Amino acid sequence: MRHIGRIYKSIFKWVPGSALFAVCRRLYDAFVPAMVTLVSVRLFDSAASVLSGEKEVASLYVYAGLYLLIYLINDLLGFASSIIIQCWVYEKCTALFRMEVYEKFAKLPLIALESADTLNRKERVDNAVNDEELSSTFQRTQAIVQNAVAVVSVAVVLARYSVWLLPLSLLSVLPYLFARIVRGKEFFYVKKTQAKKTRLQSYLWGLFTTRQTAKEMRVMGFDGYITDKWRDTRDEVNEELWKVQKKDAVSLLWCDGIRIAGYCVSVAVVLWLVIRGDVTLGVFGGAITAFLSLQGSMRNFLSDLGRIAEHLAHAADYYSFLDMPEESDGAVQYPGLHGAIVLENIAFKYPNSDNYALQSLNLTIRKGEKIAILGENGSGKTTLTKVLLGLYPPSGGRVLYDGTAVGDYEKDSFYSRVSAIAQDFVSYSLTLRENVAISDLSRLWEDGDVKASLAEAGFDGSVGLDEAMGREFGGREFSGGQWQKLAIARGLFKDSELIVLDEPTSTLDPLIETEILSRFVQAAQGKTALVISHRVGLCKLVDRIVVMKDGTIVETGSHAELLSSGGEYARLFNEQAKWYNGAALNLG
Amino acid sequence: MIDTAAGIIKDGGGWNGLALWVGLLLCAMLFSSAGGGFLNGILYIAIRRRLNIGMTPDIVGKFKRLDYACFEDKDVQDTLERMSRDPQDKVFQLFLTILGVMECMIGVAGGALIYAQAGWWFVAGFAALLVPMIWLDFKAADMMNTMFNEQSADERKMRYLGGLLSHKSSLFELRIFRAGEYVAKKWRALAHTVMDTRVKTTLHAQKYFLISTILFKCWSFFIVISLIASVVSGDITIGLFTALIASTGAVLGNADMLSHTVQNLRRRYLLMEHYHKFMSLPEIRHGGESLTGEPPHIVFENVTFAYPKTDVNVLKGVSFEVRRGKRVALVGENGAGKTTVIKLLCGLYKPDGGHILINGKDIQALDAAALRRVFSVVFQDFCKYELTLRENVAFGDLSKLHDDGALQDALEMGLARGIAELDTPLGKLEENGVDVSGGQWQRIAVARACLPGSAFVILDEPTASLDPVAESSMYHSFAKVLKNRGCIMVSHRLASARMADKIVVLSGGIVSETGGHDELMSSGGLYARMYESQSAWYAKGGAGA
Repeated sequence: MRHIGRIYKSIFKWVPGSALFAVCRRLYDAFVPAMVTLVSVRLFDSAASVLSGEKEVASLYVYAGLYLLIYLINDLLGFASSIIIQCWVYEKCTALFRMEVYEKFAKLPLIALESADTLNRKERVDNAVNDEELSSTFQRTQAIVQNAVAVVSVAVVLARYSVWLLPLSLLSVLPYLFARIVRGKEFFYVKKTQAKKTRLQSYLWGLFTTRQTAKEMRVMGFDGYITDKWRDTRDEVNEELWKVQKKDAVSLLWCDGIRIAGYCVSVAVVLWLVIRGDVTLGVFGGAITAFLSLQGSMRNFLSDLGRIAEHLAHAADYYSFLDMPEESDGAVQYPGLHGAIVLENIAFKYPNSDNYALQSLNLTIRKGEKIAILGENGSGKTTLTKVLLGLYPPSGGRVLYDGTAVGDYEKDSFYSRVSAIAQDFVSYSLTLRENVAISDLSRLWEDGDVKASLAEAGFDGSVGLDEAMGREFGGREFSGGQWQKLAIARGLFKDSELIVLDEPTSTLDPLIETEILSRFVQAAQGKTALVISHRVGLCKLVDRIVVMKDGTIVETGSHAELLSSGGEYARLFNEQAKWYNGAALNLG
Repeated sequence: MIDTAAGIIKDGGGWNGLALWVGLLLCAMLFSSAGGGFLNGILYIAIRRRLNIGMTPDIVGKFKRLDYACFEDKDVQDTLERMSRDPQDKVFQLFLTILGVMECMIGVAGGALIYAQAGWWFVAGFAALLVPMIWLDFKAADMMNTMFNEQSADERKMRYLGGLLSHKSSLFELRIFRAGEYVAKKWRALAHTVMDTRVKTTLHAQKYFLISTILFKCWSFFIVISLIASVVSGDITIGLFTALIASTGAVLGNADMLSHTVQNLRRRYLLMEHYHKFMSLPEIRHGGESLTGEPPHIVFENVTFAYPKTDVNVLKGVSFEVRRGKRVALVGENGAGKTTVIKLLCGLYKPDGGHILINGKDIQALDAAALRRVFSVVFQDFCKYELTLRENVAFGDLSKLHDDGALQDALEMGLARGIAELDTPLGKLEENGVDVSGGQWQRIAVARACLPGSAFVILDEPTASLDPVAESSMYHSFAKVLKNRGCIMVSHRLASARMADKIVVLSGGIVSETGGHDELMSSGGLYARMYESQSAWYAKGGAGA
């Protein structure tokens, strides 16, 4: 329930004028049936008395005019409100709700994105926003109130004429209530259990409509399998839904039948009253439409009441995401590194995982050191960098920069001195300039600097800085290796004192790989640098090599030292080297 | 009924007539409302079912036959996106809307006919107003539709930017570079533009709608006045008067409804255009010839190629040859066109100039199935299917989907044994899905290519995500697996080039060198330089910084 309060608060804050207008419109709409009943009774009575010569024609015209006026105002309001509500309450507010979600993402701790729970919430919140569930909640709650007011007001008006008019028309609508509750629950339950299948369905549809998979499908020929699977899943989902809908239709039939019977009996009762002389003919005239509108409003009221549960569930999804705990910021300004970074007995476990990705890890990195981190897949190298950069809080141990825990530093000041390129770096479908300078936007327009970084990464300057990248938006497409070079330019562009690169050359050709690694080491002079790489060749360029295995550090030292000690490093090195030294080439 | 009642009041008696009318009323309402509603529900379900069965194969079939180039074409992207999950639903909605229009028109006509009892010119005026109203509604709907079409590119961009703000990998960078606000600002600016245009266009379009509404209001005002005059002058009975006034509201409501429905109809109809556009997208054209199952002889003859809608030729006359059962290493600098050569060989694109011959037959004359039987591929950006391990491997050859033995053998060859049980779901789609690392995915992709036992294997950077030890084992595995098969391997790891029978070097859009390792080393060209650059890392003496 409190979600409704929050939704109203947000909508009134963002589009106060439109929200107010929507509410006023509802109020007017709510009283229209009652007003129409009142006026039409007078109208018919006037007509009758005019006919029998008792009254002036003028009053007839007055009532007719009033009757029309009510409808006219209603229509104008309706016209205006449909535009206003569609544009502001729905579209604008949906965009703002979406922005709220994005802003929340910026404040979540990065580790939260590794948990399946967060991803689930993310998906549900996406659904809620895409289907405009929050604005619909706003509208529907008002519709409920509107219908309730309409029912009550018409009932009051009718009761004034005769108490008998009420019970029948109201009672005949009660079956809807029961039908709604029972069917509503079943519908909701079915939808929930189908969530998994619908996700599979969307995934499969995505497979044969996106480029990457379309490629493999054509070449390997398994598209039939996927389309069959998609169709089967979809048919399953649809069949279940239709079964529920059929049951709905049957129950609606019964409800309708009872309702109509109720209506006709009501009409008969009024006729009887008219004949007895308890009410005038005018009342009869007003009553026939009043009954219908009464039944209609009641039915809508019950129907909306049933549907509101669904909307509230989505609202709950939305707010459960918005209420997730945020990352806390440190208070100490980061003055830059003067001494060393110390990782003290670090242990780290991913959420929902039993295995420790890092354990008993101890490492000291002195300012200005160039370090290469090596190890097999799964040894924890990437996790180490994320912990080191303060993005993932360790499960045990501390990460200290000059003796202060990294989490105690104010994030802005800390990150302004750090640059990093991940293994799954981003290829931005923006301009070339933005792809480079996104690491330090204050220098976005320093053409000289941007070009220099591009040159350092091996670009020849043939592509214009403001050229759009990314084929989905009609821009230029780079090869995998070119994107990687661009990412390196991005990392170097930022004037940082600490730089971390994770597998920076995996897709680069040998010439450029050598060139870039050498250039990098040169550009990183004076910086503290960490490079994760499989390529043992890099290790000769750095001050120290750190070898990881199974989440902990097994060796550190220089290339020569480690090679001669014959441990893990030597093993990795020789595995690669042997292919170049001719020994292992008798392979038939 | 009212007249009879009035009569009864005045004269008394005559209950039978009243009962008759009441009974008729009851039946009419029961039938129309309840029965109709029920039938509607059931009928709609039946129709939907039929549509599902009928239309889906068309759409799905079209997707399968689409020319690959369409997936990379941004204009086509918009059309593809409109083919939402249930495209046949749009047809159904269109059908419903047509029915809705008919229903409204009947309702309106019915109402109008009743008015005829009061005077024929009521009906005439009504009909005269209908025509301009419908025309105006069409215009309104057209305006809105044009706007939606034009905005779809902007909306796609917004979705893209939103994706940057909500995905793990981009959030990592945006956080470290503190660039989140920059992207958010871009999104907001786009949202503003879209919103502004939408409001403006809606107002314009609704203007038309407003005019037609006003016309009707005037007409109804006129009617009511005349009715009053008629009742006063005794031309019509009180019963008719009551009925007509009461139904004015209904007729006006119906007319409104008609207007809305007509707008809807127009909009849905225009949506169908997307469906037509989609169905007329270019398709892959294949020939009908087939190949035998033995290792093919591949010839590239002066092939030139530029990606569609670009003007730079990526390949400027590439010629090389792969003899039966031979292994070729394709090397070159980044962006030289190696992956492009692979794509052309797989038949994804057609060369602009020159020929690609397989066993002497032009690739364009070949059957799609023939190509598949002969080649198996691991792409550089191979796919990671969030389905079961079994499916991931069996996609290479679905006939072996349930052949556990063959699947395990393939996994062995790809060094992917032991990652999980065959029927374990991989990835995050299912709750009990197993997370798989990049290197493991690569091995599964290799296993997929090894499954069908095809005569020719194409590998594009098959060891990029592997650590040195795994890479080494993979080369050993390749040596075994590729015995007696032809192969093209694209790789930067030049150690793998030494394993090949021939090395083809791509540079500047043409083949700049070919030959064996020793031959190329002694000629001192690009290959020699690349090789030395890499092997220097491993020289025992230690290459300097």
